[in-house]
Amino acid sequence: MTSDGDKQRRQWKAALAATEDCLTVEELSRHAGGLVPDAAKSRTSSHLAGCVRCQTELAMLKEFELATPRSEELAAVSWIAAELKRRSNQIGHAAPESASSRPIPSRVSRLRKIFASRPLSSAALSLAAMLVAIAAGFYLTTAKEPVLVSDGSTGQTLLRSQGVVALAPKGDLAEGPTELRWQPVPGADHYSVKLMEVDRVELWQGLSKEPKLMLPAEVREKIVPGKTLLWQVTALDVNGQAVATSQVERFRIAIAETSH
Amino acid sequence: MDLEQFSVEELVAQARALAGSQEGDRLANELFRRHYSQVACWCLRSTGDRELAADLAQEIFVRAHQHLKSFQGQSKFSTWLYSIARNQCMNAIKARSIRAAEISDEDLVELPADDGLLAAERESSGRLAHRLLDEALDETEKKVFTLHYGDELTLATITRLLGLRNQSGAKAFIVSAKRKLNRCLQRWKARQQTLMEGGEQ
Repeated sequence: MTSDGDKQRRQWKAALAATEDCLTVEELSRHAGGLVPDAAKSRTSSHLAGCVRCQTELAMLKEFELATPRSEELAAVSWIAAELKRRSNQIGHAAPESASSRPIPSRVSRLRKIFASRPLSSAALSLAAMLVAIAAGFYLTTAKEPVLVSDGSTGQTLLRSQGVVALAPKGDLAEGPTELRWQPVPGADHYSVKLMEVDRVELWQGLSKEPKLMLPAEVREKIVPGKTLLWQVTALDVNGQAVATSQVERFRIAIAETSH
Repeated sequence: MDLEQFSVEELVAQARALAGSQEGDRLANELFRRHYSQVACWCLRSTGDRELAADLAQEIFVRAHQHLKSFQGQSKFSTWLYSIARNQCMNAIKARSIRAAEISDEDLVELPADDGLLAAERESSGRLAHRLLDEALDETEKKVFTLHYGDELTLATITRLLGLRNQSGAKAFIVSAKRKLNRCLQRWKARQQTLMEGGEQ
């Protein structure tokens, strides 16, 4: 990448950034639905006519609102939707303060709740039992829970010639990890470790002289079943300069399946 | 209570009113379930990886659940969900650091600085950029260019998000956009030069 090219890219990035005159997503949505109040119509239309940023935002919003899977996406979208359904108890029970502050109800109590919520006739119950048996049989013979693979390919590209080899945790786990471990790096004085959510927002960072680091209790509480987390370790020299970095590793506590 | 009969607006209102209770969670889950496919689609197009997309989609719904109380109903629920989805996906894409290696700067036109020629027209560099894009490019080129250089999305991501079907996807639009912008900027510079020379005489 040339420095001239870099300069031009920065110029265009700045020119295309949203300004204070730009429309909010709500305003764009009202425009798309023909619901802009009369008093705001002129400003909205004239801004939109001359702002490529807002035109693009509007197009993206429409893409989202009308999103229907294309033929080549059907299988993957169905799989993701099924995953979300399977993980729905993690979604609906994640409290704002702490994801683990509320107990996740057991499968038995949730089933009881479902059957208690609506009276069912005996015929309906028989039919439901048959369907469950067929589905369970099909599931046990064909389905396999997707295994979470520690995915180096989705992690950051390693630019350094020397990498840190992360040992654990990786992939699907039976229980929450208490510590992070990696192989020692020659020449490293200490290590910096960060734990992140899947969108790379940092949850916690720690330093260690050893090739391992205990997770504090308040961090362990955030590691709830079904929630994928990422971690990465960087080896630092005595001056605090990075000498090697690991791939971004993924892990999660598998959701326990009850036998039928 | 048969949740199928509730509209999205009713589910939002009830889930907000009963937030923190088991019933509130049940209503919120039904509300979210109706948007699984929409969010799944978006995350898949943003990442191109179904496992990462599933994790991202889960995070989007967790955030939606956490902030449902703050949704005031001033827009459609799906619009509100879109703002969460967009931020989450953009963060994830940027954090993956795949942008820098792919963004191409070759032949990218240089915008005039905020002095000289621009002063003649009392126009900022930013406004000129928007005018050039609007005049020179077609609708798809504008979107591709903005997402690539404004949001720094990769060409592959843009191709998926916009559902581009041509063989080389977003790349073809970037190539044609640069060519058109170059021509348009040359014409604009020539016009400004003539104006300035006219002003000096």
